Amino acid sequence: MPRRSARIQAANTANDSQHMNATQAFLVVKHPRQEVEVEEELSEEERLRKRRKRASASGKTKKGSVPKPFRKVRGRLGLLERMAKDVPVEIILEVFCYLQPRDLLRLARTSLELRNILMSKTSEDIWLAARQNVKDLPPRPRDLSEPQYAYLLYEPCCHVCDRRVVSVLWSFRMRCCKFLLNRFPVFDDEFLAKQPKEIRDSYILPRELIQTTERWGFVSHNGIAARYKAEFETLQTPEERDAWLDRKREEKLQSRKHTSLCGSWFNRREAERTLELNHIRESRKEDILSRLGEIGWREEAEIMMKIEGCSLRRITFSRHKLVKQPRKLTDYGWNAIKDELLKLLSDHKEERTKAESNIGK
Amino acid sequence: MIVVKTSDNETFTVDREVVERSVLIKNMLDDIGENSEQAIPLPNVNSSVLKKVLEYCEHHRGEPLPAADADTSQEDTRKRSTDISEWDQKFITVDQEMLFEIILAANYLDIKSLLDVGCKTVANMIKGKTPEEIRKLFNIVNDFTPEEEAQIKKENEWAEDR
Repeated sequence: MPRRSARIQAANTANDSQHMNATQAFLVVKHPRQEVEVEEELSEEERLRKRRKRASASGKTKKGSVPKPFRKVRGRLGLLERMAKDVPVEIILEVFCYLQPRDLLRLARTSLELRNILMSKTSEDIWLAARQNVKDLPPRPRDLSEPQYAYLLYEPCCHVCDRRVVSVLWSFRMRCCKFLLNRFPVFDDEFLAKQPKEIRDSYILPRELIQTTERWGFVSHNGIAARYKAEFETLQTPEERDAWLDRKREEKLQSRKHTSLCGSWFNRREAERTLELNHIRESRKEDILSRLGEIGWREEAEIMMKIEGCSLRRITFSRHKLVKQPRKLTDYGWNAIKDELLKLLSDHKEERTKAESNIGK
Repeated sequence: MIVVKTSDNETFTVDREVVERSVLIKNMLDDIGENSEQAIPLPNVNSSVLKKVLEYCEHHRGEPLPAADADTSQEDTRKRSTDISEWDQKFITVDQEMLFEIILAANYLDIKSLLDVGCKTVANMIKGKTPEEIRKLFNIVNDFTPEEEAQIKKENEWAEDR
């Protein structure tokens, strides 16, 4: 065991156990029953503790309490809930039709009322409309429902542990953190030998290429393999089985095409997002500079920026944490960062004039 | 000129061309005929909201009205833009209470383009926000327990048919 503090070790164990529970469900890993139960309790407790910590750290309101800015202002329901309750349902549907699936997914997590509306199959048309608002989005694969597809496309988290994960295993229909990635069985002869011969010979099982620091190669998904096997074995006649195999072959072909479409859509979206964030950063910087100009500090900031490119110094202006945020600057935000920035600039000026006068001597 | 009367008993005298942007009023006028002196009662709209709505109708007077049911059939298969023209944008920059009233009035008076502007505005307020931000913005009470909240993130299947 490498050197680690007891705390980190404990946290890791808890995390691992959380993973193992989930891994069980997904990858059909065998565990002694009793052990799993103990672990479940542990991980649940750990999860709750963490969430509480996170909630208090970020100042988020607890369940049931009304967010502060609204508490005194109005006793009435907010616009959206009133719309959901008091307005002909077509209007709220009209609003939803302008959104993207990502927004519907998030709306469905705000309250029970909205969840009931959006997660009902009767709302399928809204989700369809929402998908049409997304440029070049590949069509929904038949095996996923609208919300499931949105979840796969937009939720940048491991589907098991919630850790942030960007890349998607399209044919497995999930996103996985490194921990899970390392636990998928290798897609090799040994794995295939465990599958029914017909399934093996028709190359219908999905596989994914994994490239992490710890492993490289094709992996398979025990859950999917088990499902295929079960489906196949319930079929009695050779005709039924052949038809099933044909269907799965077609699905695999479609899935491969779809994966490639999704991949390029996804990459393009990421690239656009990066551009957008850079743009926001750039205009924030411009905004800060012009506000500094109003109080006579722009020049110093520009001097700092001039040497940024060639300097190894850690203190820079453009890359300062208050400057480089991808967030629009508001009056409120400016007041909050002003003092720290002025301190930065005046320190820099002092240091610079001292250095310059030294050279003069 | 046409006279309309609001829920709080205020009367407005408006050009027919302006007020006819409301399909409801247009149909009423077609029914009761040209020369009626009577004020048209609008029991679902109060004067402050109607003033706003008439401002909108005045600005857009003379523009072609959308055909009765032309859009519903075609619109389903294309991208809906949430762009709002500059004037409309400025017009609809009101508090949530007023926005809500405008949407209600536009729906009641059957002014499709105004209803669209209202709905787009609400949609733009929602776009890109996290559930917590949406709750804050619209004063939605989170009625999930923390456990449920963690759970529903993973539940993305259609709910059982009710």
